[in-house]
Amino acid sequence: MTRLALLATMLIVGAGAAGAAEVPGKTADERAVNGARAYMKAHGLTTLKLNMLTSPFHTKALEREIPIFEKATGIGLGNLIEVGILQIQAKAMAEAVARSGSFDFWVGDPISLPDAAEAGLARPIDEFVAGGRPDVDDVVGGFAEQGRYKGKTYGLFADGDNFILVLRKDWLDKPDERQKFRAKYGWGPACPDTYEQWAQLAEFFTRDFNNDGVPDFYGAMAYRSRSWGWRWWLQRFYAKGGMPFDDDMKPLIAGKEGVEALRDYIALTKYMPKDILGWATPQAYPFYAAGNAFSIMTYPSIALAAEHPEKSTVRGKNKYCLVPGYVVNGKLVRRSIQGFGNIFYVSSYSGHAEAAYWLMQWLTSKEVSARLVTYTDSVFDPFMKSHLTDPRVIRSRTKEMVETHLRNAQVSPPLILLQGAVEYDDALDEKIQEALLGRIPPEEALQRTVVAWEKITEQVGRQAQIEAWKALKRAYPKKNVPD
Amino acid sequence: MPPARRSILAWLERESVFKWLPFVPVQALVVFLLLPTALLVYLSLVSWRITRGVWWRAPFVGVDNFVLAVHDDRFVWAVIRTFGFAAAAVGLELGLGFGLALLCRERFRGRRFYTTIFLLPMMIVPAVVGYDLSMLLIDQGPLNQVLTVLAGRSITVRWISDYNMAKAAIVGADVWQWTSLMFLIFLSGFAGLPPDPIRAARTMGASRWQIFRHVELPLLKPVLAIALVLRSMEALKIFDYPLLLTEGGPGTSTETIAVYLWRVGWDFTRVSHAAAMSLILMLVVVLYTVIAIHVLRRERGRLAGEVTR
Repeated sequence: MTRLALLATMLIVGAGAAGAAEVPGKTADERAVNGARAYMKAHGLTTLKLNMLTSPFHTKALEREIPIFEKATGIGLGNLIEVGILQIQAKAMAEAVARSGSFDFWVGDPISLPDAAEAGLARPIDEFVAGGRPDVDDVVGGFAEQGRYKGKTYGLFADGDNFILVLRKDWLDKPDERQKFRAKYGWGPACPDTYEQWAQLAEFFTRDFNNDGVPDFYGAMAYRSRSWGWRWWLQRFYAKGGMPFDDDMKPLIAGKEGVEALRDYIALTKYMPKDILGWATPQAYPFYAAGNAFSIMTYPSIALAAEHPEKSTVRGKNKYCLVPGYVVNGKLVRRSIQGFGNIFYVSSYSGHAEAAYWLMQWLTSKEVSARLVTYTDSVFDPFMKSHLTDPRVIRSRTKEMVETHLRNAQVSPPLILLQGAVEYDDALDEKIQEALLGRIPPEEALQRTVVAWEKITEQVGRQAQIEAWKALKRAYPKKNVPD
Repeated sequence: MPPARRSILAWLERESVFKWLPFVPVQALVVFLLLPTALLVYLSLVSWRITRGVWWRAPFVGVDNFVLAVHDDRFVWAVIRTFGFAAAAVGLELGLGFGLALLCRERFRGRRFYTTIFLLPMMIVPAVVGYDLSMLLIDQGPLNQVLTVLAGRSITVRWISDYNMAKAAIVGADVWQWTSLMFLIFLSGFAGLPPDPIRAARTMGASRWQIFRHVELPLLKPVLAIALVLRSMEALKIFDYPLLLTEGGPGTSTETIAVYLWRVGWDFTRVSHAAAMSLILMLVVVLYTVIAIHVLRRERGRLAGEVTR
């Protein structure tokens, strides 16, 4: 080894060690501020503006909080690039090609991580994590794992999006309704343990007050629209004990579990608003908050809409339930899927990756994340144990909701977080929609999905997918039901 | 004048140099167009996805991507669907735009006001139209409420959740926004009609209908053809409404070529496949445009012949 090469090696090792050096501070947010100040000093900066890519669902909360960090460190928000929540992947991939450095960090779902990492856009942050010690130990369930890919950490988890079931408590508590329901079904009415019980509640509480053949009060709501609905099927499939692939990446979705789950998924739709196939959050939340439905299974941010002091007519009238499950081999299995979720990622093309990391660590700390999840005009959802006892979080969502949501998180499986995830999901979504529309039978829909998935696996590379799938399987819950 | 500047000017004034100067912007434009097209062709001949290293090291696969594209049912259906949307939307826009221009060609009280109103939709960003319509067209949305009031009974059209009505909603959105452009083109066409043939026909005792049918309409044919070509080319690129209104659904009922290409390229990261599909689409559109221009030229020639006679 030449002397020059030896010197270069020593410099690189030294720099790595410096990156991993522990930053002082009692809490993660304090360490983030100290780390940011040290970064600014080392680079001779007094102010620094970082550019961020996000969806409008998160903008307002971040615009309120980041100026506080800026006041403490000089690191603030520059350009804010806003795109639709389903368009983050496309925008990220465009940046992976352009390498423009147009944003320093972004808020995106875990689905896009494998592609972003393989494309070289998401930057590994292990060295910063080692120095900054973010509050990952406080993150519930397997959520923190969703920011990791092939053994490296790429993102800090910021949004616990596992599904929750909400029922109308005022209707459940009506004595005559209780009596009639019990007489008809022999249980409850209460939070359902199984999907069958939820279907019974939905059937019973669907009402046509003016007898015009069109319900005025719907027994159930969930998403059935393009790009969204498949998640609700996948949750049922997981609760049936299903896994999407075997160890060789052969799809397993078209078996008995998948077909039954799809039949049930389609059957429940008859208790939902007729145009539910065209709805997502902007339509579903106000509809439920206006008192038009008895139950809704959706993202936990529904609580912000349902308990909104001015906009909700059902405030204080909601019962938050564990998601129902299926009885598999005599045992109840509940699964509350991480239906979206958001993670902060650093761009490889940022000129200030470390500064972006400190801001992310600050935003995902116990203290700041508790503030983020309380804003009613953004949709960050609780994801830390500390949120359970934080009075600000409880005030915005109710104690019952936060407790139930975090219990649901104990049995929260991830989405299919593999390279090509968006394509796997899209193929499934397309076929499920066809079955939902009655254009093909459920069996055929899932068989066709299997064919499409096999094609995707071959295109991406089966061996690479087998390895990634092995790693992902560790993120699946082991418990059947939460404690 | 400094000598250096003088010598540059003298060089520019030389005939051998000066005669090429006007072509510089054209050549620059050609380069700007050719480079991306060349890149598109290159990408369509290699196997590259964004997650697989840099594009210039991707392996050459010949026409494999084109074969995959023509065997991709979803792509083929997206092409058929898009042509269907374009035919329906442009046909309606043509009829409505022409009708409105016909109404507004004569001077009348409030003409400016109506003209402004008719032109407003095309000034709105298509993405905004798509998002707003997604709220207006739900079952309990304002449109169904208006229909209910007008009909005097409950009307619930499932605009965005029914397989076929969603298609109608997409066509409706396009018609609502782009009839304005047709209206503008035809209004200009009417204003530019030569007065002599019309005056001559009137002198010879032709009725209003006869003048319209046998004088004005033939004279307007080139304008009609231009409007048709312009709008068809735009309509074939329809993207904002299906993406924001229906996400291409229910199922794939409103998935257009642009939406599918965008998904394949950016969401699925299969850039080479998307490049091949883009080239196939480009070929189809070019073919359509060549035929349309041929018809337009033939019409112009026929008109010129009639005027000479």
